[in-house]
Amino acid sequence: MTMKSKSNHLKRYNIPIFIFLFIISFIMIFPFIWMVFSAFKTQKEVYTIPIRLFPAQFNFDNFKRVFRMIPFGRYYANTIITSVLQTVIQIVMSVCAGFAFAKLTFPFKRTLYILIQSAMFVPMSVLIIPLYQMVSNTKLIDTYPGIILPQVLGVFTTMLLISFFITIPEDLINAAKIDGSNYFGILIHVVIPNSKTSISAATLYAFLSHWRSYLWPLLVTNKTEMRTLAVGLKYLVSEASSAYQVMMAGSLMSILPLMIVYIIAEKQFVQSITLTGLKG
Amino acid sequence: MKISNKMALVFLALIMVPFIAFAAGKQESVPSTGPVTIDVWYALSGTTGENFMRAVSNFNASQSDIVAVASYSGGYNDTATKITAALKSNSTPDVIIGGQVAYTGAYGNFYAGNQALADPAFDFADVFEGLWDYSNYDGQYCNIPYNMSTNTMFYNKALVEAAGLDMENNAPTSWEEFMAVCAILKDYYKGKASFVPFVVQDEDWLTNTQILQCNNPVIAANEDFSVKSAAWGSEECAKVAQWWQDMVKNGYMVMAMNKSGNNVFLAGNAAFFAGSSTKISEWTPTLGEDLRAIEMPYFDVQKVALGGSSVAIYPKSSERTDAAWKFVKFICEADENALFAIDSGYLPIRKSSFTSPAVTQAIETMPAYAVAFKQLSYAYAYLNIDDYAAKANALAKFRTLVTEDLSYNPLKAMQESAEAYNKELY
Repeated sequence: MTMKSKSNHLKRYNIPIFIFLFIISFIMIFPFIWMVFSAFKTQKEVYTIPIRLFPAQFNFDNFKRVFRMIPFGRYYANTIITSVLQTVIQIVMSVCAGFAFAKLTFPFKRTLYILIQSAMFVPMSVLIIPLYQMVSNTKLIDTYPGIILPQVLGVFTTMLLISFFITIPEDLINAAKIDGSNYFGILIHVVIPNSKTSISAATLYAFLSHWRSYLWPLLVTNKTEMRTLAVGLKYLVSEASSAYQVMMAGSLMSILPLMIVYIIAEKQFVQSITLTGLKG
Repeated sequence: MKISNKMALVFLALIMVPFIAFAAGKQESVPSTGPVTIDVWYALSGTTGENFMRAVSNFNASQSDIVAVASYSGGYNDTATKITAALKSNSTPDVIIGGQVAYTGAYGNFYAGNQALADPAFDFADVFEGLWDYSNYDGQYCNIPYNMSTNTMFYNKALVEAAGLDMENNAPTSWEEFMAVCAILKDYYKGKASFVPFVVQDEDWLTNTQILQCNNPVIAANEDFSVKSAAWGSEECAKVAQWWQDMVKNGYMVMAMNKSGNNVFLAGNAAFFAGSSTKISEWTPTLGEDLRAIEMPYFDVQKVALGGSSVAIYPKSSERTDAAWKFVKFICEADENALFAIDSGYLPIRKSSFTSPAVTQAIETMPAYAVAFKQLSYAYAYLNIDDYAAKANALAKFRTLVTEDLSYNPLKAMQESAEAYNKELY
């Protein structure tokens, strides 16, 4: 490559913007890098001044300690079961509700819409006690349904999908009707195929919030074998504890499946975030 | 079209089947003739939780009539939410470790306290008096002290000795002397920008200690405990606000650094740290021999505020309640309690623990532990209240007033703080 072509090659980039973005990216990714390396440090190394990013030697004691302190595999399985089921049910319900509100006409539609919308502003802390009473009275404490069912009503994902479904042209819906499709057929064959990006954004949001859910699984489970990862991670450290390295090892292991899912579906996620303006 | 409808129904059924199956599969427990099972919730995590689980295992191994099934209930706040929900739906466990009187005494449950008084095998008088105050609600004992700690003044031996100070033979006893020590440290480390002589993460706890040291009860109550008001708005407590103001004014303490006080001290950026004695076991792996403690400096009287939580029993059937009491007696027995306490950094609740080999060894090998243990003899609790958040907010108010405006009148700040608390509650 000649000097001239090199210069042209560089000109294609806006160097100051490139440097600025690189710095911002580094700042954003640094806590993650810190977490990865801290998971291999000793407690003393975590607090060493001056700060050292890399451990003196990679030791796996923190990971062993995590497995010794909590049944990590069991928590992992529970988290996958509950998060996946919650996400599936939430998205199915949100898609159906979103379609109904966006494309159908029925009595009290406006009132119901306002009611659903206002539910978004009710904090979880207000609902916890009555929800717990319902779950307790139906003998669902320490069961998967007890963890899953009260968390599947995703108002946010419903609102997100309504806002997208509204943009689907009425002509498409009418064409499907003329072809003999009923509402379910329209939903399956017209609405969903045209909304893959927004549905995947809603799915991502729902899955992440269920994966991280802490208080509800803690409240409705007493048996160790029913606990989820978020509860287990909290158990790893004492109140105001300084054993960050153990927490980091646990956190690193807990986010691995999310990272794998992200790497596999990176293109779709980025597309959906760009389209909906959603932040994780 | 019909196929689509059928598909929808099948899909819905597929979703619902596992839940119906789970719900139907969960049956009422059938009474059995085997050992009595008791449910124990514990708000202790990390190594402390592991130490508690060892005590549970010891109990289960010591007899065959009762099985204690322990379950982690989250931190203190999470446990409070969990127990509130359980109380509303009548699904409380048999025992809670990490219980607060607000969830027993306030609900009229004084079972554990009454049992401790009535059962001679428990030896009520062997438990430190101050600890019982911690478990008292409106004049009656409702819980049993268990994981208790004292507000301890830690120091980094290497940092302090480098500045020419000798804390082993010449420790400050008053807050005035403490400030003089801070002045020396500030001067010695003036080239180190990130250094601050003193940090405290739990500012509220230290404030309670200091108010008690002014011979003030923190909370005053009328005869029938129907009114519990802030007592710190009095003249003798003005010195507490004055101390906070002077510490900031002289640069011996930086309020912003207190928020991450644990990390500041661990990283060697502070010479003194006020906090829970549980830090001894938690920080020894990091600081080793450099983690030392002095007795908490004081104003008028030598006192420290207690911290921690207690054991609560929620009576159910007589069989389960008896089993729960046996379990509680076991974990509060001198040697068993001492083992739990030392390994977790909490303090033994019994005076007789002092002669236990484990405690003797801990005192000999961990100088900071000896100090924390010694403080038990003058550790006190203030009157239990229902709204701790309101009190914490009110105390934070005076600290903000005097540290943000360094010319603010300390007495006025204390009075305004006390008024704020009383106004919010009454």
